[in-house]
Amino acid sequence: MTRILTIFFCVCIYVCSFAKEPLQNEDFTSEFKKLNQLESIIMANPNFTVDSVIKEQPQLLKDLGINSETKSNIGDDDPMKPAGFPAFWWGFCLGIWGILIVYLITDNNKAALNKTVKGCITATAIGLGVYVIAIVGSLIAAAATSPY
Amino acid sequence: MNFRTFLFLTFLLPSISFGQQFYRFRADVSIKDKLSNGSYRLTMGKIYYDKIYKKIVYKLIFPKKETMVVQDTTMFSINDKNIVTGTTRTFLIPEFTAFHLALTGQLSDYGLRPKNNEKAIYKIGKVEKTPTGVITTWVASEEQYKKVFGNIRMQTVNKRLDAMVFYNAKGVVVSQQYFKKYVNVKGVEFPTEVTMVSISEKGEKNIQLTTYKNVTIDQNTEDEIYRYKIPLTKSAAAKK
Repeated sequence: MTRILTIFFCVCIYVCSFAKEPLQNEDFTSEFKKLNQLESIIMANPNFTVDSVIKEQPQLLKDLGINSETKSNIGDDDPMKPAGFPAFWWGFCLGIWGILIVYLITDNNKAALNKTVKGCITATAIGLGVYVIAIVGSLIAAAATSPY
Repeated sequence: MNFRTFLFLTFLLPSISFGQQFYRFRADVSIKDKLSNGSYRLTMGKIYYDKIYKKIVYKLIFPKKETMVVQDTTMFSINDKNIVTGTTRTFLIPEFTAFHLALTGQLSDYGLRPKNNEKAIYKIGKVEKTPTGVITTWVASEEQYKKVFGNIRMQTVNKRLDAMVFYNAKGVVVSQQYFKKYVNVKGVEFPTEVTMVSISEKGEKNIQLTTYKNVTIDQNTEDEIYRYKIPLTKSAAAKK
C-alpha cells in the first residue's frame, strides 16, 4: 500500500510540474512566423495595401486568412463583454444604470442588451423574493408571538 | 556653498528633477493577432498620444492607409481624403494605455494604485518575493466589487512591470499580459514588446503581440496630429 501511495505521489508531482505559472511568458515566436514575413514585406514597401500584397503574395495572405475586407485590429471590444465584463452582470449589479451603460457602450447591440436586461430582471426577482420571504417570516413570527 | 545654494540643492533641485512631467508619446507600431479561429491580422503604422489632449491617433499604413482617432469613448476612422468613414464605441481608455501610464510614471502598478482622493477599486492583497521578481496580488477593495472584478496578479522585475494576469470573479484566468524589451527614452521606461493573451469562457485563446519601434518622447513637431481635429465630412456609410 505504501509503495502504491509513493508511486501516486510521484506521479502527482510529475503532472504538477507541467502546470504553468500564468505569469511566466510562453514563447509565441512560432505563432507569428508568417505574420513576421508579411510585416517585412510592408516595411520594405510602405505603400503596399492588402490588395497589393494579395497580388504579390496571394498564398501568404490566404494562409493567414487575410483578405481585402480585413480591418485593423485597433479598439476591438467584445460587445457581449462591455468594458471586459459580461453584459449580464452589468444589469445584475447596476440595474437600469447597467442597461443604459451597455446601451451606450455597445451602440445598442441587441444581444448584449438582452443579456443585461436578463441580469436586471434576475436581480429584481431575487430582491423581491428576499423581500417577500422577510415579510412572510415577520408575519409568521408576529402570529406565533401573538396572545390571540 | 552659501545658505541659499544649500537650500536650493536640498529642497528645490530634487523636486525639479523627480517631478519632471512627460506629455507626448510617438512610436512606430505593429500589432499582430492570432485569433482562436486560426486566422491572423496585422496592423501597422504610427501612434501619437498627448496626455493633455487625451486623443490617441493612429496613422495606419496597413491593412489600409487611414487615420484612427480615439477620443472619449468613440473611435473615428478617417480615410486618406480626410472623410470620416466610421465611428464606433470603444473601451480603449487613454488613461489605461501603456503609453499614458509610462508618461505619468504609473506603469509599474498599471495605474491600480489610487491617486489622492480617488476611490480605490483594487487594493493590495498579497506581496510575494520570488526568484523571478516581486508578485503583487490585487483584490477588489469592496465586497460588492468582488462579484464582478476578479483578482489581478502582477509581477515586477527590477521595479518594471513584467507580467499581469487577470482573473474573473470565479478565479479563472481571462487575460495574460507580458511587458518585455524595455527602452529608456528621456527617462521614460517603456516596454517595446507587449503580448496579450485573451482567454474566452470556452477556453479559446486570442494572442496579440504589439511591437513599438522608434519611441519618441515629448516631440515638438507634428502638433496638428497630436491635436487631431475630427473632420466634419462623413461618408455615406458613416452617416447610417
